[in-house]
Formats: sequence, structure tokens, C-alpha cells
Amino acid sequence: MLPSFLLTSSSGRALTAAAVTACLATPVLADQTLDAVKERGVLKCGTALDVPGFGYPDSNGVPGGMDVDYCKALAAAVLGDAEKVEFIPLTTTTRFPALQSGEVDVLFRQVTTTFTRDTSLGFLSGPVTVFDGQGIMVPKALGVTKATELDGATVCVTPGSNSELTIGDYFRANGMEFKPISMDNFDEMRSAFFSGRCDVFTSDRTYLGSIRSVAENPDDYVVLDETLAKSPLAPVVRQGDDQWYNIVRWTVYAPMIAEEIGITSENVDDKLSEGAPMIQRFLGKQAEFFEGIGLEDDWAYNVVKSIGNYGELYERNLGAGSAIGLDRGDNNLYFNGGLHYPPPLL
Amino acid sequence: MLRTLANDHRAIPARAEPEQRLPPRPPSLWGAALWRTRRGRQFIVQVVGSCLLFAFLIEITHILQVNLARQNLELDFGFLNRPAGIAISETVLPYSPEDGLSWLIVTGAANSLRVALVGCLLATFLGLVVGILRVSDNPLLRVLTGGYVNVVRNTPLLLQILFWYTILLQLPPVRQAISLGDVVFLSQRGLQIPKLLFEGGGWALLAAGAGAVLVYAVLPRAARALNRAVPGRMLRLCAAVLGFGLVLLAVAPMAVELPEHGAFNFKGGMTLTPEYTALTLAQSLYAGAFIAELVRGGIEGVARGQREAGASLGLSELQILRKIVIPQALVAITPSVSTQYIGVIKNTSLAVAIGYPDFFWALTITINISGHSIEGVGLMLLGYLIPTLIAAMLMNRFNRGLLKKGRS
Repeated sequence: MLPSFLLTSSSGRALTAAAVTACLATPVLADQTLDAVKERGVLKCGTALDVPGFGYPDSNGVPGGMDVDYCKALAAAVLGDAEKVEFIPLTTTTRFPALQSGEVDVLFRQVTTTFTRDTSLGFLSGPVTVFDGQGIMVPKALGVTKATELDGATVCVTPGSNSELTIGDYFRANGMEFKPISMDNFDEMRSAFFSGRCDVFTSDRTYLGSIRSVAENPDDYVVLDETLAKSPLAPVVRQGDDQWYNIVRWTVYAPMIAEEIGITSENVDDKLSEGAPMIQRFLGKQAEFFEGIGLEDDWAYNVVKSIGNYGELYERNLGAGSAIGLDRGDNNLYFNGGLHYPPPLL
Repeated sequence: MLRTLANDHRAIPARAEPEQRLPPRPPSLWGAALWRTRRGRQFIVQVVGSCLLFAFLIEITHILQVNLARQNLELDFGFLNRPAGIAISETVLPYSPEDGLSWLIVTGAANSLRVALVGCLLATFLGLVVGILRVSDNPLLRVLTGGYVNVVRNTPLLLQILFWYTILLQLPPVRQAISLGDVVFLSQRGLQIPKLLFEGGGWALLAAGAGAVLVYAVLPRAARALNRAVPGRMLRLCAAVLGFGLVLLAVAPMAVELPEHGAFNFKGGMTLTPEYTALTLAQSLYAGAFIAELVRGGIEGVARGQREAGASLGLSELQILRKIVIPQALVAITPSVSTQYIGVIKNTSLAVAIGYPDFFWALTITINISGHSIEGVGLMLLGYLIPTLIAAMLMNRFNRGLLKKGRS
């Protein structure tokens, strides 16, 4: 009597798995995510593998992107090897059940931190990895310049995303009507937009940039200047494991601190011999400084060595060095006019 | 022959229950040592099995509670009252984002039913026609229908849905919509047709319903009074539907709402969206192919002599089919066809692939917004179980009716 989709589709499987494992998972193991990961020897990282810029295979089939790199950073911090990570590809609808059920240790999957997600889903959000905002992309041929001109439009939106809620609020607040089209499958949805089934695609600006980058002719599409909603993207962990939460938090900060103190993946080995106390602490040269986090002393070194500092990370995946080509903008460190402000390493 | 067939069916359950030679009943279960007697041993197995099952259920519930508590969650259906906050592209029932999550689920279920009902109807019609043509004397028809059945039955349904959807998206964009006299439009947004509006609302419907019941009840009496043959049930139903329509026309002032070209889409009128059309079309064609095979098998299962007997009575080909072959084939087909109907109901969940807002979609969204995946999946199972059970029950009843008819 099971609907076939419950077993054949990825979202169906994840939902079923969530329900089954929530029933059966032994409670003792899951409390100590760090021990579980060490014992397993591999980090299970929930991410997307179909979103250019965040998680997408390159021409050799090797996944890359902002989220993928942060997964690697966490593996490097915890297991000392950035390759000891298993990427579990998740859609917007499967990501939360997968985390709840313990199928993944952490989500680095373009999750916008919201009140409900933190308080009703049993999650904790880490520090922001990318400051994003919800934008609107239209074909240039449509001749639309403002979002308020979109009364009656058909809007493509990813199911289970906060954009789905925001776009409804926006149209209602402005007394306009719209028809949403939301599909579980990103590729299917992209082609629906490119074929003209929707007038508008709404999502986070970085994601719109990534959709645009795979269009046949990216110049046919334009992302409007307006930002409909804030979208701070952050990693997510389950509540109830404070140690693991701290590890994820500081793994996000590590590349930012590295950028702050001038360490890159290239010069990190030279910096080992430098005497500045901040650098000494960061690279694990100060005895017992990192004891409280439960990781090896060289965890931050491993992070920077494997994925670089935040500047390198951004340029490579979303910035000028990538197909997406976004400005750094809000994602600069605080002293360059951006919003990233890692706490001091003291 | 008809009688034999029915007798066979009656005979089956009788054969399925062979008389058991039980040892003479002991005075009490406790009279002898329990494990000595077969009945006693069975009793022990039952008790131990029940205890184990019970313990297993308690353990699962306990683990579930602990796991949920660890994440600061609890099993609770209160979240269904929260406002859904998201819009739906097409609905049968009235819906707005201010409505609760529970209404979102009901709306999704209604959308699924819309696909399932229309899908079952079309599949039955298609299956019947194709099944009959499969055994026709015309070789061209045989090859064509055979090709359809084999292609459709041997490719995955999901692929077919995506195929039809992709085809429908090749229609012209909305601004270059194909127009038929500015009344009907065809574009990527779907097929727009005029909508009939009844201004009388519920009262008009009520009056029309009363009219229909009246026609149905009065017709046999009127026939008797006029000394005419009493009309059969089918005829009376048709007359009742006719009555319904006539009263509605008389009571309710009607208006026609034409689709109107807006900047991005059409306003007013009715829409057959590409998502709904692709899903329903694929479902109908898929289940239709299976039903066609069942129909073919049922027809071929009717003894050749039956047709020949009909022919020797001077019946036409169509009369033989209608009066002799199909009634007998139906008895053999019905149980398997109900499996197809249940399949259609369950396969409506493939709607997510092309973004048709169905029951499965509504619950996925609900789980996503609320985070209550266990309750959500529970509702999902119930939601598919209940209609499939109802369908199975109705078909069983229909089947029993057929068997009874065969016997009389």
C-alpha cells in the first residue's frame, strides 16, 4: 500500500528513512557526534551536488563549491584529512529529515537560518558562511525592471525553501497574484524556467547566479536589483550535542580568522615558524590552547592547508574566479566593509 | 456456461477450507501438560509471540520518545493548525496561504483525487477500447494497439510523465498563445477555456439535486400509470442527470467567464495546466495499457463456442461482444482491474517530479515547515491507505455483484 514515490524518489526515501531511524536509532550513540565520526572514520556531510558554486561536480566529476569545501574543512578539522568525507546529496525537502534522523552529521546545504528552523525543528544554526539575499531572475525579453511589475506572473521556486514562504508574503503584501511552480528536482525546474514555463525564478542571489551560469546564453537572463529577503546561509546541526556544535562553529570561523591574520593555503607552512602570538595560537603552537574543543592541535592548520582561507574559498567558488562571478560585497571581512566578523581567538 | 462459471467461483472457497481432523478436544487447556498437545503448543507460541511483539512496540515507542526529547521535539499534531503561508498553483478546493497546514494537506489530497479519479476513468475507457481492438480481425488495428500496449507497459511511468511534460512545454509562450476565436487559448500556461458561472450558488444546486431525485423516484410510477414498460436503472439515472441539468438551467442565472489575456497569464476562465495534463495523461495511458491487456485476456478466456453460439443465433459482432463476451470477461477482469486502480491512486505521488501540488507534495511541505516528519509520514501512509482500501472495497462489492448476477 506504500505510494511508490515513498521508496523510489530521493525525498521519499529520506522521509521514510527519517521516520524509521527516528524510531529505531539508538539514542546513546547520536549524543556524541564527534566520537561517532571518529569511530566511523568518515564525516557524513549533507550537501547539494547540483548547485553550481555550492556543490557541483567539475569536469572530472569531483564535487566542488562553497558547501562542499566547508564539508572538507570539517573533515580536515575532525579527522585530519579533508578527503575523509562522504557527501550525501540532499534536496531542499530532504535536508531537514536527513539531519533529524541522523543520516548526516551536519548540513552544509544553503540553509537560511530562520526562527522556526532553530526552534521547531530541533536544530542549531552555526555562524553564517555566506550572506545572501533572495532575488528575482527574469528573462531579459520580458522587459521587467521592478518586482512590482510582476502581478499575475508564474514563479519558479524551490519547494521547502524559505523563498517559497517569502515570495508568498511579498506578493500578498503588494496585493498581487502569482502562481508558484515548485519541483523536487533542480534540473527539471531549471529546464522548466529556461523553456518558459515560469516567468520568474526566485531564490537566493547566489543560487540565481548559479542557475544563470548554466543557461545556454546567460546574458538572456537578468537578476533584478531588488532583494526580497535576507538570507544568511549557515551550517545546521542537531540540538543536544554542544561539543559538536562548537566544532562546527569554529570550523566556519577558522578560514575567516586565517584571512584576518594573513594566512593562506600557500603560505601556511611558512607561517608555522612565525612568532606572532595570534598565528602561533591559530596554528596550534601554543600548548593546550585547543584542548577544550576536543580536536587535535593542528586542526585549524589542516583546515587552511586543505581549503584555504575564506577569501580564497569565496573567490574560487562564487567570486571572480568562478563561473558565477559574484562580487564579494557583504561577504568581505568586517574591515573591508563586509559582514563577516569572526570572534577573537583568545 | 454462465452458470458453470459462477458455480466454479462458488466452489473455490469451499475447496480452500479442507476439514481439519483435530484430535478430540481435551477437557481443558490446562488438563494435560501444555506442550504435550498440539493446541497447547500453539497456545504457547501465540502467547510468546504476542509478548515479543508487545515488548518490541514498547521499546520502539520508548526509543522514539528518547530520540525526540534529545532534539527537543515531541510527538504532537498541534502543528497542523499553523498557517501554511505558501501559495498553491492550482486547487480544486478554495485555498489561501492564511489557511492552516491541515487545509493545505486536504487541498493537496483533493488535487490527488482529481488526478486519480480522472485517471481511472480514462484508463478504463482506453483499456476497454484498446483491449477489444487487440483481438479484432483488423491487422492494422491489432498492430497499432499492440505497439501502444508494449511501449507503454515497458517504460517507467516517471519517464512517461516527464516525457509528456516536456512535450507540453514545447507549446508557444503565453504571449504568443494559440487562440481559437479569442475564447480558447493554448500555450505553455496550459489550455484556457471559458468557465460557466452559476450565480444561484448552493440553493440552485440543492434545487437541482431535489429535481434529480424526484425524476428518479417518479419515473417508474409514471411509466406504470401510462402502462408503459418500467425503465431500467441506467435509463432512470440518465433521466435524473438530465433533470438535474434542466432544473439548474431554469433556476440559476448563468454566465460565461472568458479567459482574458493578462500581462503574464490569463485571467478568468478555466485552466488545464501542463502539470495536471501531463500527469493525468501519463497515468491514463499507463494504467490503460495494463487494463487493455486484462481486457484482452478476459475476452480470449471466454470459450470460443460462446461466440459461435451467438453467431449461430444470428447476433451481430457487436451484440455478441456486448451481450455474451464482455459480461463473462468482466467477471475474470474485475479483481485485476481494481489492482490497477489502486496503482493509479498510489502513482499520483509521482506528481512531485513535475511540480503538480498533490497530497505527497503538501505533506513534504508540511514536514519541511513544521519539522514533524514522523507525524507527517504517518499521515502520508494513512492518506494513501484509506483511498486504496476504499477503492479495493468498492471493487470487491462490484465483483460480488457480478458473481451474483452470473448465478441468477
